[in-house]
Amino acid sequence: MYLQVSGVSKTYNGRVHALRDVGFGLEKGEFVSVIGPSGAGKTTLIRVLNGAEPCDGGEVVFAGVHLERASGRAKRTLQKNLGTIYQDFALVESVSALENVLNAALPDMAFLPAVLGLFGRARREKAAGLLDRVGLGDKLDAPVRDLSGGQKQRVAIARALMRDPAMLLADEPVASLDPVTGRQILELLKDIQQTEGLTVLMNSHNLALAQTFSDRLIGLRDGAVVYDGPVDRASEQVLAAIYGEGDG
Amino acid sequence: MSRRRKRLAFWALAALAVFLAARFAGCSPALLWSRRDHLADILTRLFPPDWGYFSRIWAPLWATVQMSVAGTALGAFFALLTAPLCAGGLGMPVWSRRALRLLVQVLRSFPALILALTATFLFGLGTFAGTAAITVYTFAIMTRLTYEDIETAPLGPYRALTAMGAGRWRAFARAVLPYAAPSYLSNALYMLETNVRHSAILGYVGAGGIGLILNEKISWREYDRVGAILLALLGAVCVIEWVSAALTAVVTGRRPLGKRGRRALALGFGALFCLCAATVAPPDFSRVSPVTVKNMLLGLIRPDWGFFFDTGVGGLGYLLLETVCIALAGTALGAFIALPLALLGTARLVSRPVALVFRLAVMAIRSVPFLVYGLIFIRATGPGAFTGVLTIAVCSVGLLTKRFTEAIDGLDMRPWRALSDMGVGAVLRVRYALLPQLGPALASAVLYRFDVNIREASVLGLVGAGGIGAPLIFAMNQYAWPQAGAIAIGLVGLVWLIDWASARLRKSGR
Repeated sequence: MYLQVSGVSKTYNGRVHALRDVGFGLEKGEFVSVIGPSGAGKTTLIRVLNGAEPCDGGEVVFAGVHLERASGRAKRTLQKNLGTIYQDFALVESVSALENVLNAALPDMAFLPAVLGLFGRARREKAAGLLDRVGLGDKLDAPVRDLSGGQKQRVAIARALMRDPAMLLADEPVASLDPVTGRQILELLKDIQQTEGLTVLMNSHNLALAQTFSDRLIGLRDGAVVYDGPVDRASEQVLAAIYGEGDG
Repeated sequence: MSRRRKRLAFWALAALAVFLAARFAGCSPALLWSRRDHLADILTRLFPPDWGYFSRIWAPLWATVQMSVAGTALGAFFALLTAPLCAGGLGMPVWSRRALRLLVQVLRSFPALILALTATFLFGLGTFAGTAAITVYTFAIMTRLTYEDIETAPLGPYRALTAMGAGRWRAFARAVLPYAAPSYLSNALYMLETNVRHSAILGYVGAGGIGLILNEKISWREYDRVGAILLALLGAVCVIEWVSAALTAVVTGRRPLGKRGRRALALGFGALFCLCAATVAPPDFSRVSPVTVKNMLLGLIRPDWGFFFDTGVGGLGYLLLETVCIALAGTALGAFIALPLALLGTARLVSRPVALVFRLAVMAIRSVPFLVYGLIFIRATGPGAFTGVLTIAVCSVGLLTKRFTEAIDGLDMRPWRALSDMGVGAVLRVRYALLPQLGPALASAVLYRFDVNIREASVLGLVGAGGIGAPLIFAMNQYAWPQAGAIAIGLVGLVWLIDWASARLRKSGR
């Protein structure tokens, strides 16, 4: 297993159970979607996986290394291999698309050049190449605030790719976009996943899109895994178990 | 690429200007470091304060609050009457607009202290002179802010009402005022906050308030009593800032208030104003002679042109340049210190208790009147422009930190979170996720502060801290009106030039 999650739990304020005994595995190169209603713990799962929040118990083993025990430099090396994209893009709106992509290079740079913004020609060319790859070759110097929602998410994908991650975590990547743009973004993600051999774990509350683009579905409900299997075996009963009767 | 290069060139130029200004003002970090014991000595002797002395502080403290409340209310009221006449687009006569704008620009060039000194010549010593000075000072700033607000208001409703035959003033009150009112009221509250600090030093020139005893106790080196006065002042500033923040929330609509609540508030404020205004000591005309007034005006009309055009050391040009250099170096140093303090003072970046500690510290820094800093620094670094730079820097820290913290509280924190997820360290996160967003807000706060600092720097001379202040105050005290007139004209020109330059900078920054 490339990513092995076992027995992970997470509570907020000692009362709210965001994740309960979550366990699953991911093979290299898989495209897996985590589905479930709002508040099922999907975002918390992503935040635990990318190291933004510690889990209370359980193990997260990524490429043979324990993420939940890593700290300092070791944790940063792990984070380098994980690219995250967000529902709200999380870009610096006032600077250009290129500068936003370059931000992803900061952890690999020495402090002084990083503070002064001396990224060097190689990194600038790489960032420009990635923006070209996501279809924004003509928007390098455009301030992000002037871009459309779909274009912003493309910038965010380029930023995630800037670090040559082995795995992409996507937290509701198309929830703030209109259906057509959302589909285009997922097509781009799928394309990148297949050509680069990336592993993708995506959160989605859009069941149809998750079914179209994923190899496998994981169903979360109240912080626990209630389904883990191929897309075509997610029957009506399974979906009812994930989304609950009548309140999906 | 060219945008990057342009930005780089701008920063290089700015750094060079600050460096040259610091050189000219004789800044010497080594001197400050070698005499740090003197500074620490004074600071430690402020504590513990002389608690028994508090009973003697209340009366002058009340006079200070009284001058600021009455002066701010009167100044803001006159500004409201004058602003429509100054604003373009309302169809008011052109001649009155030009004349009033010129008057406002001239009055705006003088710090409250110089206005107070002038007022003591007209109204005698005491709180009446201080109130008059605060009124004029508030009037000048508020008129300008208000007519700028009026000019951005949509004029369609105003034109519609005048077309229906409503008089201009009525149309103004019904169609423009509702638009400009929140900003006008919050500006007035902000003026009230700053005026408390200004009133606290007016005692230096005999215009009443707490400044008188403050000056006295510092001169006699009774630092425990100075500590007591500063503590009382901090208390007053805390109360006023708290009240002002609560009222600002009401006037900007963030905290909705019913009709009865608003009426009660207006009544309460009216009562406070009446109390303040009614207890101001009446003017003392016994020592005012018409000859003095006539000579004052003559000095402005027939200034000492020899001094005005003197280009040597001690000439007007040199003194004005020194004032600009003090303001520039001081503002830059202040901004440099204020940024980290602002970052540490917001609960969005650090834990709540830490933020609270830093906010309190900054409030304490802010509550001390700036001449007090001058008097303290002068013990360490001696008379001269360097002391002025340090004084301006510390004063700028207080207000810049506040503005910076407000800007940070309005930031989009999502990029910060994204960079943190990527494993980017805190300093680089500030540099790349926050500073690009903060840029415009910081620049406008710093420019505004520089504008204020030019005026503050022109009274530093009072404590021997360099700049144009000392010659101006000496000239006034010696009734050397032609020389005072020359300096006044120079100051007006300088402030006008800085206004023009900062407007240009703002435009190009956009």
